[in-house]
Formats: sequence, C-alpha cells, structure tokens
Amino acid sequence: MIQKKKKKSRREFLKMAAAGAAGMLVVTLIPKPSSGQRIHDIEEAGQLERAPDWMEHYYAYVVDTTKCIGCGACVRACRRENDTPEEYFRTWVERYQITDTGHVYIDAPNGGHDSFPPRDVPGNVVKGFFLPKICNHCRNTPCTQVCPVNASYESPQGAVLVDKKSCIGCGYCVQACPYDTRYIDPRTHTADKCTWCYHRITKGLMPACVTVCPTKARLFGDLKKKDSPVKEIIDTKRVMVLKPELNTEPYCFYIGLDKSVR
Amino acid sequence: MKNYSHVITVFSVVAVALLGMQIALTTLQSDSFGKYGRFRGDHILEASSLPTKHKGDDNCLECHENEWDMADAKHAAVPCENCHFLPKAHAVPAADGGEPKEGLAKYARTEKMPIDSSGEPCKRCHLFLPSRPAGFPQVKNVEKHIKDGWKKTMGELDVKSACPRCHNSHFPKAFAKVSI
Amino acid sequence: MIYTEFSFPNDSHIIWSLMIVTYPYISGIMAGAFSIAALYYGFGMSSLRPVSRFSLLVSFSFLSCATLPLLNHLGHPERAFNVMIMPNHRSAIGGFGYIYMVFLTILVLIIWFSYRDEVIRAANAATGLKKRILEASLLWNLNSDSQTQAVDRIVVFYLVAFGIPSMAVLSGYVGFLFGSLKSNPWWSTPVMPFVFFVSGIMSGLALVTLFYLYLGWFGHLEKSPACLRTLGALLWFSTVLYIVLEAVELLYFYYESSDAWFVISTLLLTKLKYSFFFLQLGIGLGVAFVLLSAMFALRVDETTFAKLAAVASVYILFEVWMMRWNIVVGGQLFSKSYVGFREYHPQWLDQEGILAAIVFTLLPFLVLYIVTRLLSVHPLPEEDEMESAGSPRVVIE
Repeated sequence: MIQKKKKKSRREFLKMAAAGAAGMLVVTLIPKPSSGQRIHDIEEAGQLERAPDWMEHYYAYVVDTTKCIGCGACVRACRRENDTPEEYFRTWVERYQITDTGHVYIDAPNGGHDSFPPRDVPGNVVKGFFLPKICNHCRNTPCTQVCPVNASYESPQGAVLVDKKSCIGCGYCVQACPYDTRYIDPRTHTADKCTWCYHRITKGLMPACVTVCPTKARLFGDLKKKDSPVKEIIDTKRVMVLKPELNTEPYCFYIGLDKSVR
Repeated sequence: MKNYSHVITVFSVVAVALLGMQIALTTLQSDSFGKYGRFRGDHILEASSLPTKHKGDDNCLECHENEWDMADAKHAAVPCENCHFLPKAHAVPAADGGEPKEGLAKYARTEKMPIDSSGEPCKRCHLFLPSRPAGFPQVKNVEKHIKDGWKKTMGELDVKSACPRCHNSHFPKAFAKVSI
Repeated sequence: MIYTEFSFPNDSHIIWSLMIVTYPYISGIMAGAFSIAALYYGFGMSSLRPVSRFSLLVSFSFLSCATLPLLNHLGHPERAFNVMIMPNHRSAIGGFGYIYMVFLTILVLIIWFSYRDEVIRAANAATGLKKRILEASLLWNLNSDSQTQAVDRIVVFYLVAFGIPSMAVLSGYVGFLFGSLKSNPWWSTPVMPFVFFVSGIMSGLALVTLFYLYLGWFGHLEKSPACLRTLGALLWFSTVLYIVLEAVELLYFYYESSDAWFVISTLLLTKLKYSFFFLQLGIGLGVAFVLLSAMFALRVDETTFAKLAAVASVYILFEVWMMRWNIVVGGQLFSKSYVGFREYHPQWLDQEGILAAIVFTLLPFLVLYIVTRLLSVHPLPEEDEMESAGSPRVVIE
C-alpha cells in the first residue's frame, strides 16, 4: 500500500511541477504589448527633429591613418559635443613611433586632447603614424551580448547605443569590449561610449569628429548610398579592422594599419 | 491524500508567488520595450533628439563670407569651430522689433568669438613630429623658421614671435599680416 | 617588436573591485555547504548525518547575503530588478535573477520540509502570537505522523536532486561570466566555470568542517570521527581536482603561447608573483594539501586529525579568497592593449573598500547565528531514517 501511494504522489508532484514551470516560462516569454502612442506624443511635442528617412541607413566609419596629423581636434570636438567626462574618452588618438631596432613607442597624452608634444625616443624613428581610435560599432558585438538588461543595443542603422535610463552600471560591457572604448561615466554611474554622434547623423549631419578633421582622416557614410565615398573605400581599397581574430566584425575600417597596432 | 496535502499546499503557494512576481515585473517593463528590437524603444528617439552643438561652417558663413573668400585652399579644410570653438551666444536676432534687415544687420553681436593668437593652436598641427605624414607642412626649428621668414619679408625680427605675427590664420600663405 | 609600456586612455581605473571578489567567495561557501547536504540527502552518505541539517542552515545564511556585495557595486542598485523586468537571455548576469530565485526557492523548501517536525513540536508547545506565527509558517498543516514524515523525506530527496544542478549553475555561472569574455585573456578559458565551482565546494567544505569541530567540541553536535574523516576526504579530493584544473589552465596558456601570453606571463611574474604563487598556491594550497595528505597517509589519532583538519580548513578558506582576488583583480591589472599595467589599492573607507568587504563577509555569520537560535543544528533522529528507506544508503567507516 505504501509503495503505490508513493508512486502516485511522485507522479502528481512531477505533473504539478511541470505545469507550474511551463506556465512560468510562457508568461516570461510574452513581451508586453507596446502602445505605439509614444512616438506620436514625442513628435507632436516638437522634440522630433530628424531627417525624414532617418532609419533607412546603414552606417560605416573609415579612418585613414596615412592622413592623420595628430592635431587632436577630433578629441576636443567630441568632448565639447558630447560632454564627455574629463578622465575618459569616447575617441582618442595614439601615436606610434617605431625605431630601426624594432622598438615600438606608443603614447596618448590625455588621449591626444591637446595634440602631441615632441617625444624623444632612444634610436631613430623609421616609422611613425597616428592612430585614431573610436568605438567600432561592431556587428557581432561582445558588449550588447553581455548587457544583462538590454540597455546596450544595436540600432537598425548599425550604431551601438547605451540607454542610460535602463543601465544598472554593472560594468560587464566595459569588461567585454576588446577595444577599451567603453567606460563608466562617474557622473551618471552608467556605461557610456561613442554613439557616432547619433543625434547628428539622424539629422543628416556628420559626427563631430568627422566634421572637424582638417585632413579627412576620418570619414563617415551610409553604405546604402551608391555614391558614398565610405562605400567606395570599403569596396575597392585595402582596408583592415582592429583585432579581426576576435570576430567582432567592427564597422570601423582602417586604411594603412600596421602590424604593431594594439 | 491526507499525507500529501502539505506538499501540494506549499508547492502551490510557491508556484503562485513566483508566477505572480514574474507577472508583476513584466508589467513594469517600459511601454516601448520591444518596439524596434529588444531594447527600450523610446531611447532611440531620445538619443536622436539631443541638441547638436557643432553647427558647421555653413552656420558661420551666413555672415562671415569675407573670411571664407580669403581662406586659401589648404586652410579652408580647417573648420571654423576648430579654432573659434562653438557658436554659443555669439549672435542673436536683433531685438528692436523693426523691419527685417539683411546680412550682418540681422543680428546683434553679444560677445566676440574666442581666438587664441598665441600660436599654440598652430603648433597643434604644424609642429614637426616624426609620426606626421611626410608631405604635410611642418616646422622643425621655430627659430630658424622665423629667421628665414624675416629674410623674405624684411620685417621686424623677433625670434620669440607667435605664428600670427607673420601668418594670416585664414590665408597662411600671405606673409604680411592683414587685419580683418 | 618590443613594446614599451602603454595603457589605453580609458584604462585608468579598474571597475570590478573588492565587491566582485567578495560575491563569488560567499556564493562559493553557499554551494559547498549545500553539497554536503546534497551528499547526505541525495546520495545517502550516512557518515555525513551529523552535519546534514546544519550545512543547510549555513548554505541558507550565505545565500541570503550573497546579493549584497553586488548591489553595493552597481551604479544604480535601485534598478537591480531590471534583470528580471527586461532581461537579456544571452547574458550571464542577465540570468542571475532567475538562477538565484530558483535555488533560493529550492533551498527554502528543503529547509521547510526538513524542519517541519521540529516546528510542529514547537507550535504545539507554544501559545498565543508565537503559536499563530508558527502555525502560519507551517501553512496550517500540523500533521506529523510517520507516513507524513516519510513523504517529507522523499520530497527532500527530489528537491535535493533538483538543487544540485541549480547550485552548480549558481556557483558555476560566475566562472562562465569570466571565462566567456574573449576580451580578457587571463579570464578567457573554458575551465573557468569548473575552477569557480570546485573552489566554491572547497571553501564550503572547509567552513562546515571548522563549524563542525567547533560545535562538536562544545557539545552542540555529536562528535563523529567518521563524519570528520568523510569531510576531510571530500576536502582532499576537491583540492586535488582544483590543483589539476589550475595546472591544466596554466599549462595551456603557456604551451599555446598565443598573443596574450606575453601579458599573462608578465602579469604572473611581476604583479601577481606574490599573491598568486606565494600566497595562493604556495601557502594556501600547498600547506593545505600537505596537511590533508598527511592526515590520511599517516595513521594519526582522532585529536591530531581534528587539529590538522582545522588548520587545513583555515588555509583552504584563505586560498579560495586569494584565488578570487587573483582572478577578478588580477585580470584587470593589465590594460587591454596587452602592453600596459595598472594598480589597484582598495581603500578602507571607499564605498567598495576594505571595510565594506569585511562587513559583507561577516554578515552571513550573523545571519547564521540568528537562524541557529530559531532552528536546531541537530540532524534528524536516526530511527526515523531507517524506516523510510527513500534512497540507497552508503556507509563510510
């Protein structure tokens, strides 16, 4: 008698557990229905100031390191445009000096914000260049993959953005970015990074760093436009990305990248 | 059933509590979550609605066409905002309520745009650094540069001069300083 | 190419601090304590009976305090529930809310079923408000005849069966969190979840051993040499497993000699030389392993065995903490440029500083003290066990 009862209770228990678990699973998978009212509210309030087809683009960024003169205008412009905190950078410039003995001297004084003072290095510098760095807005983003609350996401145009109202400030995305382009903003305690000046590109303008570059070392464009110079460069010239072996598929392409680049 | 009733009771209570918690948490989700993708859809609107600060050269040229005409091809590539910074409260529409005026008269000047004439902004691009591209005009030895320039212009020699002493920042090929 | 030192400009501060060292330490002890209960209730290791219910209380105390260091670290702890409101299912931290809830539910249920008889006796003896509270906590079912108790045993068995993978995920997902990051070569290894899991088991075993020696010495629990020997044997096995995992991890880093080997080797030989080789491996692991081996290889008497076990447990607890430090902080001491380093000196009074870490580590002990005032540390009486043979019994002499 005892044996039969035990089997029955076990079966009943398992059935209940399965039903409960299935119920819970179903509930969590149903997304909350969105009202669609929201976008009209914002438009009518006059806050919407975008180019009419602002979603119909697919952006890419090109850096031509053979043209960069290391003036630092991009770093200053980015700080002014986006109110970046003092000790962190959304974009920065690194200087490489390689001597004939194979030594590589890299520096980025204040991220290149005040240009570069002369730096004496032992030996003759036989190869030197400047390397502007920026968030690569990858396609296979390691940062959006690890954000626990979906605060970091990819917009339909390919820009990777951070929702500061949802971010909990755990710092997982900062650890996950292999290019060190993210930081925790000490004023808002959330993650922050380059947004390709999303507020400018959606109005048909260029990012601030591209706008102020005097030598056209930084380029930005829409891959969906046939005559875009960025598209032409990516399609026809020898371009490279940073850390390709990590398979993050960056959308910031470099011309003239050297093997010494970090 | 008597021996198992406590099992059923406690598991039911737990299941209801967990289910209830998940439902309650899902209702706290933002309205716009999932609209454009798995993120808070309102943010993409907020991010694109931030005010732009850099206004671009066209904004300055509305009034300052003279400066543009004078700039030689090379320095035309340097945006106004690089050296003169953001157009904050530089010019506001004239508040006298009279007839609409044309050109510069449209605006009342509130404050002068800043400019650093010490030569520091020039050095940021033109000081010689081995990492700079070879074809780019750079000055290796400032004293020698000034002495050579003096020979050309026969002006006053002052080896401590700043660059704008001889070069017009908008038209750097001119050696005689032209006032705006 | 010989590089001189260079760190990326955003690499000025480390962001995962002492709090992120404290959290896996606490969750590891929770997992290890639960594993003792799991071995008894699930696998029938009857030699562990004296500590079976007590280890459930230890596990619960540490589980209840596990989230506090994380909340202290978050930039916006008030938004912490976002991980359950708008979770990212691909993120390890995103899964934390659910993993924690599941294991908390299972552990609370196990404790509810294990302690039912005792609470029923207390409810029957109590009066007034206390009686009403106790009856409510029993969900107004005060049935405690032998068949109900048999049902309780079976339910505990199945709960433990679900609890083992749940506990493994809760202590292993932290390792997955680190091990799956391709951006950090010191963390990026598939062995990481197992390293965290096994070291968690080690720390839990060590702490429960220390508590058992203390409680047995002062007469709160029966002194069983068999129980102590089993705990010692489990500790020895898990230490060996841990040594193998760490050795394999280092061997692969060294042998593969991939692009990050330069920075890892420099990290180990300069920044982490003292904390990794000397403190963690040399003192922590080395002394503990020698003592544990000596306990079994040499025929020592009970008192000496107990003393060696106590000392080895203290060293293991120290070693596991150093391991958390070396992985979490060690992985952030180099820049993502792989050719630069930085420093980390936690301050006493920082929000995520030394004092906060000490408080969060000691808080579970306070919770344990309160819990043991309410629930007994004694295991279930032996006679009732034999009647309700729910699972096969294994006796270790």
